Amino acid sequence: MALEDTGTGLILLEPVAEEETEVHPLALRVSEINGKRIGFLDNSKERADEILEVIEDLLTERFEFTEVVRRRKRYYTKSAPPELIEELAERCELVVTAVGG
Amino acid sequence: MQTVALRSRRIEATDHLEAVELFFSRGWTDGLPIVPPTEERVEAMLQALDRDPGEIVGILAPRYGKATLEKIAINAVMAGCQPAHFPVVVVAIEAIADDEFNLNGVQSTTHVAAPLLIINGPVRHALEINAGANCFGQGFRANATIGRAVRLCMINIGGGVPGVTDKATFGHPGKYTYCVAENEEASPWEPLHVERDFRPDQSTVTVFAAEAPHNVSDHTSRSARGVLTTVADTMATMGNNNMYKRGEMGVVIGPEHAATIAAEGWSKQDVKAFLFQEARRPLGDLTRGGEYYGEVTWEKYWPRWIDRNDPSALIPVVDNPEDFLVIVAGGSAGRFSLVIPGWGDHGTRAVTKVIPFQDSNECRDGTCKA
Repeated sequence: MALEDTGTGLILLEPVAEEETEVHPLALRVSEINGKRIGFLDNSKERADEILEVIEDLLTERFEFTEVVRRRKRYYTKSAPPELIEELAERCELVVTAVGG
Repeated sequence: MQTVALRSRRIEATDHLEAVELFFSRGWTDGLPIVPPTEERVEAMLQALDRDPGEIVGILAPRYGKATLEKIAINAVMAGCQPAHFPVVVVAIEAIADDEFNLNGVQSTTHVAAPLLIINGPVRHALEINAGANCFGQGFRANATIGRAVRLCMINIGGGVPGVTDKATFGHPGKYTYCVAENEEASPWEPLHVERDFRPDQSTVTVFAAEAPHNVSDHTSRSARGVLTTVADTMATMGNNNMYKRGEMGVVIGPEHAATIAAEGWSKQDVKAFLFQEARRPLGDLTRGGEYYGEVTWEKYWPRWIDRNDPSALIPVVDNPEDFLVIVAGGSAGRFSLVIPGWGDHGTRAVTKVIPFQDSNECRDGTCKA
């Protein structure tokens, strides 16, 4: 294959995907914790459950929650299924997730 | 010959050596020098398929970059592929982008896993994809460059940057290239793609998230049972993901071992059934260490039918005999096989796709059509 002679050198094509990155704003923070419904999402990796137990104990010592929802992902290597995210969004004002390992 | 405008951003270099250095400095390589992707070379690559360069073959995680034919072709040029290799690279990209494969996890895991490409069918001969001596080693352009092109796409389109998004603690040498063909001619059994419902005359690529191969030496056994007992023992170890986290496991039977096994009339199903029966460890061993994690292990991974109160209960290394991906490959001399542990049941399965390839001489010069 002949080399290209452009006079100024070689013209090459960039190998990277040229994506426009979508910007997702953070969810609104709550100003009051008492009286809220809280969820705990365990990503199912080793010791995520232990971290969440400690956090749940610490939070429930200091605050009152009207409901506690505990869920565990099937695969820690995949995003949570949309139905699980929807359920937590529906049932809770606050969700704490932990990544084990 | 149709010329379609290529859409990628252009970058200039004074000569080829400067281009190589420029690509290193941009983080666009795997650590080895690349072939500079000029328009001419990329167009020649694309002509092997005669499709729109803007066509999206898949979305590659974790960056969720669009793998267009054009971007794949650029990376294939960089890897040193010939245009004839391009259809195989494209189908491999389609396979790793399939949801079943879970590329997001494979790219970003701390585990060593890399996609192993297993090629079946007539394309193996036309492209000289090595299935024989040293088939997992160096020396064969098709194996070396097709596997490398897939990795470069994972880096440049998928955004797999070591230590940043590719969190592998170690990785393994197959992350440069990991492509092998099945030695169908040396196999007494149906090849992998036929087991997976494709015709023998079709060409396929199967992708499997896998560790590096682990050698199985057995120059002594002269029976199917003996050879496969050695294979089974190599499988059931506490350090691989399969033992605790299931999923699929690869088995490469060397031609000499295959002949010994087949001489007793054993089918491929017999091989899998035997391995399922023998590749086991007692529960009492597996709870001494490893990835045993009490309730979570029982709930997520181990079969319900194991008696969890019996330390002598035997835990198989996979859930089902069909979770062994068995191929025959390797050179004609040497009584060896290989065990290739998988990434485990992390929402990944091996995926097989058809390569658009007609078995004719036309394809040898890179002009085969879909």
